Amino acid sequence: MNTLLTSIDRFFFRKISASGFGLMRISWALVSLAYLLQGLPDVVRYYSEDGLLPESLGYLVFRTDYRFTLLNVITDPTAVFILYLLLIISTCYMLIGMWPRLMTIISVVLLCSFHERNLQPLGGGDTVLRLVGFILMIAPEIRAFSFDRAEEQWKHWKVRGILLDPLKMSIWPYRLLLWQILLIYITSGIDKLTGTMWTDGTVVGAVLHHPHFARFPMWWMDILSVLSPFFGYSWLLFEFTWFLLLIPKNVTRIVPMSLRKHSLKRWLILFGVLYHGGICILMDVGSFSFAMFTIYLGLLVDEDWVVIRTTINRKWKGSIIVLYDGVCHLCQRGAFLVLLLDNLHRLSLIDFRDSAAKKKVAPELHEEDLDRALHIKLPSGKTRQGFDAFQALCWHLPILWLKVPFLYFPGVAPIGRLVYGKIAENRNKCSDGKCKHK
Amino acid sequence: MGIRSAGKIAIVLFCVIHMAAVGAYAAPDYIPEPLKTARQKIVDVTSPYIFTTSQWQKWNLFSPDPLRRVVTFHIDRETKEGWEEIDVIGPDTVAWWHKATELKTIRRMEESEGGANLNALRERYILAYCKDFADGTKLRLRRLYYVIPHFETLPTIAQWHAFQPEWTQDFDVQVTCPST
Repeated sequence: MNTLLTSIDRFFFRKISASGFGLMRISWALVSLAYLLQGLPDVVRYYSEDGLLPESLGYLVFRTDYRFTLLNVITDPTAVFILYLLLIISTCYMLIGMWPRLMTIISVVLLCSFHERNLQPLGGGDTVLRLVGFILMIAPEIRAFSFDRAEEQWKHWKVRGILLDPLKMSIWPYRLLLWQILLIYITSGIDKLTGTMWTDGTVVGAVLHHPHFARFPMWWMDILSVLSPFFGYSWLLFEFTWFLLLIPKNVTRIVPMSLRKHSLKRWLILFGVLYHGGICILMDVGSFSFAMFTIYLGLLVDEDWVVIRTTINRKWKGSIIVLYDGVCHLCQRGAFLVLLLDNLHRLSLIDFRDSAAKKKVAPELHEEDLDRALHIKLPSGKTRQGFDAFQALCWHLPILWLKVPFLYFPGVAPIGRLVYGKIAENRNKCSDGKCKHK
Repeated sequence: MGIRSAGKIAIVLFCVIHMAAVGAYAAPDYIPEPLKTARQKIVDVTSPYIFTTSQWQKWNLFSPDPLRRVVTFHIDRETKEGWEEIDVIGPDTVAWWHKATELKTIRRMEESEGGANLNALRERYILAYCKDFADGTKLRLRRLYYVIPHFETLPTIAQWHAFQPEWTQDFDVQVTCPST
């Protein structure tokens, strides 16, 4: 009995990284925001009493029992539009992570209210967003990668010089999310087998030729349709393979280690990104692909982050020494931010005012030079300073990867150096009494 | 029993009920007995929870077979010279930013679960055009559609190239613009 209770306790309450759910919160907000903004011109038309579906015709579209929507009481077109704007605002706060719990609840309740008001424009992606939103609302920890968390980190780092331990949460919301994605794929797969076109391999060709969905000209779809059986059967295989995740780990121990060491879940997520990404590129199916990517983020746990980091760092050796001014408030903020974004764990921050620490890592650099600009020392021994240091650092901070190409546009570097120089020049003209040197 | 243990039991019970509820709701209707009876019992008990929390779901996107009917809505206005087309709602005419939602809306206006007559919805749809016309103007909905073929064997590129849609037209609902 004790063993059973321990197993149940572990199954529902073992601690996992909360990073996946933090990213899922951000992704949910981003996807919702994109489609909410796209839908702004149609708000009154789709969701108000003056639009396509007045309440008197509602019985033709939605159920009447157990239907909760704020739009049952808010029917005036102007009020509906204002409520939609409130939804957009709360989603923005949810995205950046200010009051994440409250903003998540508001965003999910409002989104569900709009969805329940008119089902006609909704697609599979909208359903996924509702389901995931509910899990986010009840999950015990969604503050990872949030503004609120960053503030807590800053307070801790200022005093202790190190970041807080990563956030953890009980695994039960992850179990709910995994169960949800299994339902999506398995029930969908079963349904497909009851037809004829999925089994005879002609389905993808037909779908690609439907102009309501096709993004590209038909002559291009004619060519792609030759691959219809491959895409169709591999999609069915992908959907049913998720079923294997229901097999308990102590049963999979019989599988040879050479196969067991690779995570089936990660491979399925990778193929899912490829499949849904391909669907998104070729077809307009609303938010479905992006909503599924949102679920995938929530399924990433501790060992997945380790594998992702190890894979990206497989050719990386050493660390980048970042020398910053530990008595300058602005520099402290900058160093803290860089540390926060160091998801690949490649940086080592050193306060150059600590002579012993500085001598250990960069004895050749003089304090006067370090005082003029941020310096970094790469594992190769080369140093970079100022804007060039920032440019080099961006390659190693995943959240800034999208920025990297822009930093190499013609003209950006000279302007960057100029701007950096001005900021560095003025950083010591502090009026808060925090820029005293030893 | 401490509060912590009670809390854990409550969470476990909630998870089990939630997973059973969404699982039963999402499961197809045609599963064999005794699963079908068990499913129906669970759905009957948990549907208030499923509906109130908007957890309802059916994953029949492009299944059992994908949608092959391609429809466009044409709005006509009656003039002295006859009927004049004033708008087309189709894949080539709807703006990109609401193509998915608008085309889904017109498709859903044709579908009906349980055979309910959706004429009133389509009438409402074309009544929206009355704001541009005088009272008493007659508007009608004309639908053009074709069906993408289901080839019995995998078609070649040439067969797809050769495919020409066979459009069918039908005259649907008609409204008279009311006085405001």
